[in-house]
Order: sequence, then C-alpha cells, then structure tokens
Amino acid sequence: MAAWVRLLIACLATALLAACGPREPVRIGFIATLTGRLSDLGEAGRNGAQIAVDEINAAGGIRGRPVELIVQDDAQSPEKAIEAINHLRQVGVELVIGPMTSSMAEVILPIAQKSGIVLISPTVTAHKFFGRDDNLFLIMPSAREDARSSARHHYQEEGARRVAIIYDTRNLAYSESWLREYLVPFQELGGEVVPVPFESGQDADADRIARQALASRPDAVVMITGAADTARLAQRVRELSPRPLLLGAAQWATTQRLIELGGSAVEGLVVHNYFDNSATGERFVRLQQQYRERFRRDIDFAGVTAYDATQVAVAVLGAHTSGKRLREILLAGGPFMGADGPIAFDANGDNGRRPYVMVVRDGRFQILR
Amino acid sequence: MDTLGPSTATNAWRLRTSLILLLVVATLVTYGVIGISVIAYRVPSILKEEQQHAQSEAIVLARYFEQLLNSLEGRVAALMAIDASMSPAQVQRLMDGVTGEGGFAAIYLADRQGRIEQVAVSEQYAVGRKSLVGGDLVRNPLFNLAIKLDRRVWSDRYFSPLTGEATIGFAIPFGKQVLVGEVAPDFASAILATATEDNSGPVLLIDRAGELVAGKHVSESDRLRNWAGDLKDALVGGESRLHEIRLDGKYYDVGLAQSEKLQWTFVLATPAGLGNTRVRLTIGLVVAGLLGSMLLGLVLAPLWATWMSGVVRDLIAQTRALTSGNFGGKVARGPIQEFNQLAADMESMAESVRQRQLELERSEERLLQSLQNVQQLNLLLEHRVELRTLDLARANRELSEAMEALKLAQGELVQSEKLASLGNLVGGVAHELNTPIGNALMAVTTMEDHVRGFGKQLAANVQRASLEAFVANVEQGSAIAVRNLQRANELIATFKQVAVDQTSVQRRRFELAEVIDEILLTLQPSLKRSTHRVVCQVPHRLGMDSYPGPLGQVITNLVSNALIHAFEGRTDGLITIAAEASGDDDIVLQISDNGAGIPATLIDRVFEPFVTSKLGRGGSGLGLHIVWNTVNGILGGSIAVSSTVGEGTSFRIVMPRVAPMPSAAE
Repeated sequence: MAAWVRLLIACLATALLAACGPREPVRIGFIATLTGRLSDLGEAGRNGAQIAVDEINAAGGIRGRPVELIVQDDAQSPEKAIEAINHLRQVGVELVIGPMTSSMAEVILPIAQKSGIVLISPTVTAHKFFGRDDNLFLIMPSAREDARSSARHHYQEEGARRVAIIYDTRNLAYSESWLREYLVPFQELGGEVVPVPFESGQDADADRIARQALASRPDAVVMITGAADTARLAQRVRELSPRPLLLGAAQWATTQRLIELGGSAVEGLVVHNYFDNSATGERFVRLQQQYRERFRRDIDFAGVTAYDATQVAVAVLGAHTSGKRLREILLAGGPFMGADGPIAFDANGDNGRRPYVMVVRDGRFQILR
Repeated sequence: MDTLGPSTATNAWRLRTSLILLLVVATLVTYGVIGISVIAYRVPSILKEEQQHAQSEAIVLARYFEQLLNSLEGRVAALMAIDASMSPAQVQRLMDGVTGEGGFAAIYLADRQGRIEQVAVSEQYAVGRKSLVGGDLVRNPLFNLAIKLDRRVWSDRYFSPLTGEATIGFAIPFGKQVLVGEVAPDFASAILATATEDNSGPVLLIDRAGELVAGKHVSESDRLRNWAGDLKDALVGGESRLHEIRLDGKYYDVGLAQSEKLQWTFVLATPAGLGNTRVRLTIGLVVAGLLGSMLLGLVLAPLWATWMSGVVRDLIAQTRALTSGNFGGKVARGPIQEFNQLAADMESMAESVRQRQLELERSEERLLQSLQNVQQLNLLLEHRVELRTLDLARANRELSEAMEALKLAQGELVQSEKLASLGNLVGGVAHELNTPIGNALMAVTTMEDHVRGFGKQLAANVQRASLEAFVANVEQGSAIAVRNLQRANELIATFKQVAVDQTSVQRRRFELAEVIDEILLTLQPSLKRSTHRVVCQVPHRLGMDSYPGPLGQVITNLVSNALIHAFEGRTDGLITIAAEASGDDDIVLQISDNGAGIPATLIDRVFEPFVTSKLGRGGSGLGLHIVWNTVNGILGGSIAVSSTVGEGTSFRIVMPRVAPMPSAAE
C-alpha cells in the first residue's frame, strides 16, 4: 500500500507544479546613452543590436535558446553607468554590447574587467583603449585614424591652415584623444590648431562658443561633440560666420540626428568615418531595409556597428562551452561576419580599417573619396 | 497498554497508522481532486476576466489620450490665426501664451523651407531658446512629413532640437508656414500615471516605431528596448492578437488598444498565471484548504484511529485474558456494529470455553476417583497375588520335592531295571552256559562210565574190539566235551564282553554290526524258544565311537519288547534290525516287527515310565523308558516310534557315530 500511495502523492505534486516555462534565454547586455542629448548614438546602437537579436532568434537562437537583450541606460553619467553595469552583472550577463562613448567606457571597463564581463563596443574609439590587453573589444578602429585622416585632408585637400576645434569636455576621453591625434599631424604639416573647450548640455550657450571659435578667424571649424550639439553649433557658426567655412565633425556625431537637427547648416560638413551607407553588399542592403521599416529612419554607423557587435557576441556565445573564456574565443575566433565586411580582432582586440571621407549633401552622408 | 507484542509479519502496519494514512490520503485525494478542478476552472476564467478588463481599460485610455492630444492640438491650432499682418512680437506673445498654459516644451513657427522664424518655449527651457531661432527643420522628419502630407501630423518619438531629448511632436502646416509643437517630455508619463491610477499593472505607450513613449511600472531595460517586434501584427482590425508579453522576466496578459490619431499602441498588462493576485489568491486558498484539511485530518485522524484501535486493543486484551484463563472480562459496547458483534461473540466464546473448562474439571475429578479405586483394587490384587505366590511357591516346593523323590525313584527303578536286566542277563547267561556245560558234563560223565566199564573189562580179557570201542567212546565223549566247553568258553567270552559292556559305561570304537551280532548271540536262548526270527540288515563298516554297552542294552530291550508284546498268539513273527548311515555323522538304526502294533492310546506314551500293556504279567513298564533315556542321553540321539495296529511297529533311532562326551553328572 505504501508504494502506490507515495506514487499518487508524487503525481499530484508534479501536476501542481506543471508550469513548464520556455527555455532559459541567453542574456546579452547593452549599455548606451539612451536618454539625453547623446541618445542618438545609444538608440541607433540599440536598434542595430535589436535587429541582430531578432535575426538570430528567428534562426533559432543560440543552440535553441532565445537571445534576450538587456538594455541599460548610462545617461552619460558615471553614477548611472556604474549602476547599469552592476545591474547587468547581477542579472548574470557575461557579455555586454557597449558602451557607445569613450567616457562611459572609462567608467565601466574597470568593473567589467574585475567581474570578468567582456565588453564589445560598437563605437568607442578613443585611442587610449587601443593596444591594451583587456576585456574591451572594439569594433571600430581608433579615433586616431579618423583624426589623422581629418588633419591631412583639411590641410592638404581643403587647404585649411588654421582650424578651430570645439571639443566636448563632457566626453573628454574621446574628444581629448581626437584633438591630440589631430593636433600633432596638423601641426607637423604646418597648421595651427585653436582648441575651444565646450561643455555640452541643454543649457549650453552654443552662441557664445560659436563666437569664441570664430574669433580666431579659422579656415575650418571642427566640432568634436555629439550630433545634437554639433547641429546646434553648426547652425550658430553658419549664421555668425561672414564667409563660407569648412565645417568638420568627429565621427561620433555622424548619426541621422545630426542631419535631422542640423538641416541646411550641416550641408557640406565633412567627416571621416568607416561607414559607407551606399554600400551594395546584400547583407548591408537588407540591414538598411529592415532598419528603415522598423525604425522609420535611415541606419547610421552606430546602428551598423552595433549590429556587427551583436553578431560577434552571438557567434562567441555560440562557441562558448565551459572552459574557454569569452575573451579567448574573441581573440582566437575570427574573422566574424560584419554587415559590410569581415571583422577581425588583433591580439589587443582592436580592429584595423581605413576611414572614408564623407560629406553631408542633400541631407545624406555621401562618400567623397 | 501501548505495546501489542511482536506482530506476525514484520512489515505489517499498526491499525492506527494505517487508519491515519487512510483518512489523510482520502482527505488529500478528495481535496486534491476538487482543488485541481476548481483551479482548472477558475483560474483561466479569472485570467480571461482580467484580460478583458485590461482590454477595455486600454481602449478607454487610448481614447482619453487622444482627447488630450486633441486638446493640445487644438490649442496650437488656435495659433493658425497668425497671419502676416501680425508683428513678430505679437506672434511671439501669442505663442508664449500657448506654451505658458503648459503641456508644451516648445512651439516653432517655421516657413515652408524649414527655417525657424519664431520659437516659444516653456519656462524651464528659456535658456536654450536663443540658439533655436534661425535653426532649421529642413531635415526634421516630422516637418517633412507634414509638408509632404500637407496636413496635421503627429510624430512618433521625436527628438527635440531644443532639448535633444525624445518627446512627442506634431506639425500643422497652414498657409506658408508650419507650426511645430513639442509636447513636454514628461507629458505622456504624467497622463499615463493619472489615467491608470487604479490599475496596478504595468502600462506601456508604444509608438509606431516600437519605442516606448511612456510607461508605468516598467523596468528600465523594458523601457529602453524596442517593442516593434512584439507588437507586430498585434492589432489586426481592432482585435488584439497579442496575448502575452514578458516584462522584467515575468509574464503578463495584455489588453491592447491603438490610438487612431497616432497609431500608438496602449498596452495594459495584467499579471499572468501566478503573477496575478486573484489567481494567486485562488490557488492560495485551494492550497491552504488542502493543507488545512490535511492538518485537520492529521489532527482528527489520529484521534479517531486511536479510538478505533483502542476498541480493537480491548478486544485483543480480552482475548489475551481468555488465553490465560480469565473468563470473566467484558468488553464495552461502542458505536461500531462489527466490533460489538465481535465483542459479543468473544464473550459467548469465553462463556462456552468456561463451560468446557468446568466439564473438564468434573471429568478430571471422576477420573481421579476411578484412579483411586483402581489403585485400591490394585493393592488388593497385589495382596492376593502375594498370597497366591506364596501358595504357589509352597506348591512348587512340594512339587520339586516330589519331583526329587520321583527322580530318586526313577533312578532306583532304572537301577533296579538295570539290575533286573542284569538278572535277566545273568539268567540268560546261566541258561546259555547251562547247555554247553551240561552237554560237556554229560559227555564227560559218559566218558567216565565208559572208562569204568573198560576198567572192568581189563580185569578179564580185553578184546581189541572193546578197546576200539572204548577209544571211540572216549574220542566221541571228549570231542563233545571239548566242543561244548569251547562253546561255553565262547559264550563266557561273549558274556564277558557284554557284561563289560553292559555294566560299565565304557566308550570305545566298534563296528555296529559286531555289537549287534554279539547282542543277538546273547539273545539266542530266548530266540530259540520262540518261532520268531530276527533278521539283521546291518552293513559292515559302520564304525562308531560310542558306548556299546548302553547301545546293546537298547537293542536288547527293543528286541525283547517285540518278542514279548508284538507276537501274542502268533508264530511267524519277524524282527528286522536295519541300519544305515545318515550323512557322515549319524547312523539310523531301525528295529521293526510285524507284530500286533501299539494301540493309538498308548503310542504317545510308550516312552513314559511305567507305561505298559502288560502290567503284572512280566512288564515293568520301564523298558522303553530306559531305551528312551539311553538313546537321548548317553548316545546323544533320538528315538521315534511308529506303529500300525495289526501290521507292526517300528522303532527308529538316529544317533551320532561319535557319541557326545558325557557331562560330569552322567
């Protein structure tokens, strides 16, 4: 009697606990600035990552488990960034796409390093993060390339001899790096650089900054700040400047928002970036279409790099069995398939590419060369 | 009494335990089945209710939102009254008036090329206002859409040139100008909060691109993620096809509604499954009930079980008492029929056992009584037996004495018979000797006469003829004398032999035939006087190592017997003595006659002493007895008699060639 009574009780218990949930998803973290003035980068990045995640889930996920993107906002604030990374750590995330800005990377990397989380950043390019053997893997090449190319181009192609550089003190890690990398070759070539510090923010007096930059009567004004502020500054400069002036921007600002907010002021603005939006590769075209359908705007470099970063992340997590650390897989397993070309990481986790020269024309980024 | 002693099967349960288990399991199963049915029926209906409620709430919310947006729109639309006749300052004042009412972060008045002519901002953004004037909206998607559609258009998530942040915008093209308004960034969330005060679940307001415009009780990562994928095809023809979303790891049922104006989706989420309070409550109640009933069962069951097993224990105790001989116990009656029946039966069984017991005791007593009687009788019997034994002993003694006397007498008789036979023998001997000696005497006497005669003759003249006659007489006379004396000598020798043999019990080797011959010689005289014959069929070479004397005695007696008894009135009697070897060790000696035979009445007793048919006429009655004794005794053999009246008698003796060694007593 004892045996079947026990069996009956076991059956009842099982029946009561019969809630079978879906398979435990694979969680990938995403940290970016999703609120505030720099949210264009973050949002574009998130969108690109989301498209990648949905693509992957449609194809069955990672070994049958769906991928879930855990999105966290760093609001361009160190405290919020630390909160974000800690939250992701608690949730048990091993791999994070992001952050999008170098200043946030500075804050997040030590924590990620200590807890063994791997960061794959789509858009961090400050030179200081290159050549280091750490948990930060960079999709884009160093800002140095961009800055150098800009310096050369401005001097040689555009004939500028004096350049005013408005750099954002809120993202010093990047802007300082860019400034330095521009300044050295430009000065070597014989040019003069006038740095103008600018604290971006809602209450920032773009007018004053613009005047300050124009005071030195430069041949070109380069703005190293986010898209929204670049747009605003560009508008001010255009209005205040008596003659047509070359405007340049850092790659950081080359999002759609720059065009949306800049309007006619940013026509002719020259940037160097690695993103050719007229590429015709099948994968890229498909990505563009998907992005436009879903998000009702055009994809930009942040979206593409985030998409790439997510693909890399998924490929790595797919190969991740016990024993092999994610880092090792990233270093050893490449090249990964990006939207517009292969991605390979060198020993330091850096990616080497040459930038395009792009100009804003008719409300779009077009390749100059 | 708690211990019931060892049970017969080591894995049998106690009654109490099994009763408790039975009650608990019954409770559990019953409640479990009921509970599961309740849950299975109730929970889905609760969830359905909630979802439908959420659905209707979402619709209400969507409508409410639209109304609000309409009113906002209306306020800005009032600015359409602006025309070229107004001065910029007037226009500015009008615009500031609208923003001053609240709800707007900024209002732009731009020309159709997108150049911002005038900006009115709400107070908090006053600082940034300056930089906006002169800016252009030429690339602003909202602006472009409005120009393209040439009608009022609401944006999805819209990035304000002023704040750089996401908010909602709308554009109203009119005349040569376009009014673009930015709603205050917290507008949506504030509305959402107040509109859904009594709804405790998450609320999401999602734009066409899948971005969350505003949310309530939504985690940051859910807020920041794009919902376009989840909401794709969610609302088809007003019917919500989406049933479930996942927020912050938990599952929710949803009520969906779409705002027509904005094509935004309002999502009201109610916790699904166990997240739902009411569901939890229901399940909780059921489980609590289950546990409660189980607990209650666990409390009551032991009591009931104890009571029941108590009754059983009483019965068991009663049985125990019975087995140890107490019959008086009674078991209290309870409410259970079967147990009462059992108790009643137990008691009647006890009663009948008791009766049996009494009967047993009584018959025991009777038995004891009989035993005692028997004992007494026994004693009596023993006493009598003793007496009898004494008597018997005495009789025995007397008998033995008589026996002794008889034996003595027998001995004496045997002795006297022996003497008698010896006398006979002597007589026979004398008789036998008489003749030859007489003859010899006669012959010698005659000779003596002859001698005298001759002597006389001598005195006168003796003639040769008379001398010859004398010599012839003397010769004859001496021959007769010698012959007879030789004969007498022979006889004496034989008799000596026989006497030696007869009087001394000497053992020697002999030929049977010789001894028989010798015996017959001694019997000659008797035989001669009769006309009967003795035939001897005894082969030679029957060597024996035995006692010839007694053997001769036996043969003598048997032959004499035959002569005396067998041929009464007859003259042609024939006695046959035959002998043959029987095996290597024995000899069969048969002495038969063809006489009158021994009558059946006597034949069984012929060997007994003093049995004779001629008592008083010369038979002592001991002859055959002596024969029997001798054959069985010293000769070590056996004798048997067979006889047919009128035809004859035959004595058969079987004896060993080598007689047994005599015992000391012989």
